[in-house]
Amino acid sequence: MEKKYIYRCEDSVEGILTGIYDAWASVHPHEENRIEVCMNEWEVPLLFADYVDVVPNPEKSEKVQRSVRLRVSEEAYEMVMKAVLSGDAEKGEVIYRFLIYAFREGARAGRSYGNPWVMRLFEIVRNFDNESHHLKGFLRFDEQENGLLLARYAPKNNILGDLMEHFSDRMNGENFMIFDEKRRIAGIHRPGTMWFVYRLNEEEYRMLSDAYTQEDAYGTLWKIFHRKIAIAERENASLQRNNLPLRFRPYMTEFRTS
Amino acid sequence: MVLEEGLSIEKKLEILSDAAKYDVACTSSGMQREGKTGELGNSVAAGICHSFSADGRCISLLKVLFTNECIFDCKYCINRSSNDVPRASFTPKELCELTIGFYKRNYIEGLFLSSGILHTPDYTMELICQTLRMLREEYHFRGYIHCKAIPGANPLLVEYAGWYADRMSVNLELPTNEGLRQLAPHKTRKNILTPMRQIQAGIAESRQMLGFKGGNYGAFHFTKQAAERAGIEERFRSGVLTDRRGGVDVVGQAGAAAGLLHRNESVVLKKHNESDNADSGFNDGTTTVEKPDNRQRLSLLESVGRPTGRGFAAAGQSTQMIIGATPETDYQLVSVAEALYQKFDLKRVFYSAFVKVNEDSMLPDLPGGPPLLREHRLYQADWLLRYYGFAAGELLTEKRPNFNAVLDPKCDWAVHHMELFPVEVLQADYFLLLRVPGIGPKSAKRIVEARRSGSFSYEALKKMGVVLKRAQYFITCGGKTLGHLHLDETYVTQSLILNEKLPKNLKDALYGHQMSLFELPNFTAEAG
Repeated sequence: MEKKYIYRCEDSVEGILTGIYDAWASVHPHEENRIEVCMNEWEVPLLFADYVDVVPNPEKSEKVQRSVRLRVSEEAYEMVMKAVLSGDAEKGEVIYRFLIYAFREGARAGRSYGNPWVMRLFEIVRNFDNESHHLKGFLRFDEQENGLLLARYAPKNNILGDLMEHFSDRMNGENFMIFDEKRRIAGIHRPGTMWFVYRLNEEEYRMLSDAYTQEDAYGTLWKIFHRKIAIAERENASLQRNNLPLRFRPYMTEFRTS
Repeated sequence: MVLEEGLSIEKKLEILSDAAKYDVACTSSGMQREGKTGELGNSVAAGICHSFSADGRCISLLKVLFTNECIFDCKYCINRSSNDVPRASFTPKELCELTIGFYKRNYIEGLFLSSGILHTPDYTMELICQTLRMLREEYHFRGYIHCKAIPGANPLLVEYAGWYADRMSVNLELPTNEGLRQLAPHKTRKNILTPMRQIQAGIAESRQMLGFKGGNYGAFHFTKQAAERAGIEERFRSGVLTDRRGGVDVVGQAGAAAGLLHRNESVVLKKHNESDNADSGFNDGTTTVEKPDNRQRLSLLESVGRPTGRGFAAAGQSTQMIIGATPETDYQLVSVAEALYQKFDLKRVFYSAFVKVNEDSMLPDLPGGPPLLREHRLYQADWLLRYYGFAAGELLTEKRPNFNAVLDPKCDWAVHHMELFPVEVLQADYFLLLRVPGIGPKSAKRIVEARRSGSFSYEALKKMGVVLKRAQYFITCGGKTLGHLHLDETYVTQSLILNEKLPKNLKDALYGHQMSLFELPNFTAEAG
């Protein structure tokens, strides 16, 4: 069996891009390297492989980003940065293989769909974009007693930055918070300031998880509207499910039973 | 008429959303507008769906009637004046509060305001204008607004609404004059087409003077004309369609070309009396653009505070037709849609399968329920008109006036034009690719981009979004076929049908039982 060098990276921009930098800088040929992102703690180690634990390094990560922008394209850079935030378990390896191809191929690499790694990256990015687009519509805010609008969700990809960008433009005068249950992070916006993402500690996480989502008058009205706008003669649950997958519904006001 | 006084807001919403549910076009697309400090909302060009109701339709806007008290007695409509249903009206303030409250919780993209005719068309239109004005000026709402223009209302009021709304629509209701006379005795074609013309002119003006988009930019006009052009040698001289790499790259040039085409087109639009669609009734010259005189206009524009930063109905105009309440053929419907796109610069035409809500001897019985499959075929054809460069006359003819129940319009067209196939995907130009069943605008664009870096496999084609179960009978990829390529109309037709997952009720309706290969109808004969 062929010898493998596996670069184990933390699931972050810095972690993954440092891993790619280190693999590139190593003496081993590309075929023998593999990038693995630690998405779960229980992954079983491979036999016949050397594990390299990658130490995230901002300079290395910065260098990779700069090279992609200069030597490939802004478009490819954007694809890589989205892939880094994706929930795909293979993302590190896909980005690595894509970059090997892209540095050779140049600016058109991002659209050379005939190459399997470009296609894989494209699929990861599409999945990210689709989920982000969906949640711009499906996310629900509940007004808290202090006036804060609080949204809760658990997306497959880490799209919080996208959503914060969208909602802080749309609701620039509002206090709002988007809480990602799965990653234990929250995006916070206050009127007149830049939004930011905050990593929650255990206590804050528990507080937010328990935050009492009281259904206000508008929630009730919305449920009425949602029920009344359907045409009984056209009822079609499977079409509804295709368009609005079940996984989004636990967080949506209109599907909440009170 | 049951008029209830002092209704709660819950009750009003219940009545007036229930009354609005048959209106289609709950879309929020066509407008890109950033947020602004001190205002609430923005708008995203692609539109955003916020939920889906139990019938699987998208909910994007708070779609309600201002009132369902109506003086008209349209036979198909649940709100007809002779019906005994609970009636209610919002106040402008109530509607504003609802819109803002829903918007902040991210339930909706904005407001879709339609209405029954309360007292007079002018009175109703004034209420709509008042609501829009309040929402924009007092509540500083920057999200999406779609509103109806009420047929017969003063043009000044229609103009007023247009400066506040992103999209406006006038319901065509029924595709022929005859149908309208029978089922909507208070409506006339002239009263419907007049505000349509006016909105068209307003959009054109705000496009030329203020640089707003609106209209059917980049879709129908561009695709159709560019497709025609793709067939003639002159495309290489035009300079617009030819890219630097020497090939035909219309994908990236869409904006520029659409601009050019559009200006030419708007000249054509002004003199709308030539008749290539004689029976559609859109060329009778009776609908002249009625606009408020200049003095009135100036004071109006002052009062709405132009420049508003929004333009005039800049997300374009739409309309809807009821399908199956009157005996029109699909060919008539598609021809009407085509005329609306070409001559009225509409952004979208929506089709609404007739749901029989009233008992009336003038209305047809629909034992199979609303004609949903027919509606579906019309939407498919509509897409072909707007994005694929098809003309109505290519899809249907007077001899073959209705869509095939088991094959979609594009497959149906393709099996009748086997002489054009197979198409080599590594070489065919964009518009030829678009003609292949299973290839759409997105996958065609990807193919054109990907082949610049060399050839690719069927596996890659599939991942680019090509639906091989349809495309395989019409293409080669690098000279190779996927399986056995047999360019025979009957063979391809039968294979396509076998590959399709037809809805069970359709199979049952067609054959009364499970369909088998030997029972397939012979589609080579022109169906009557």
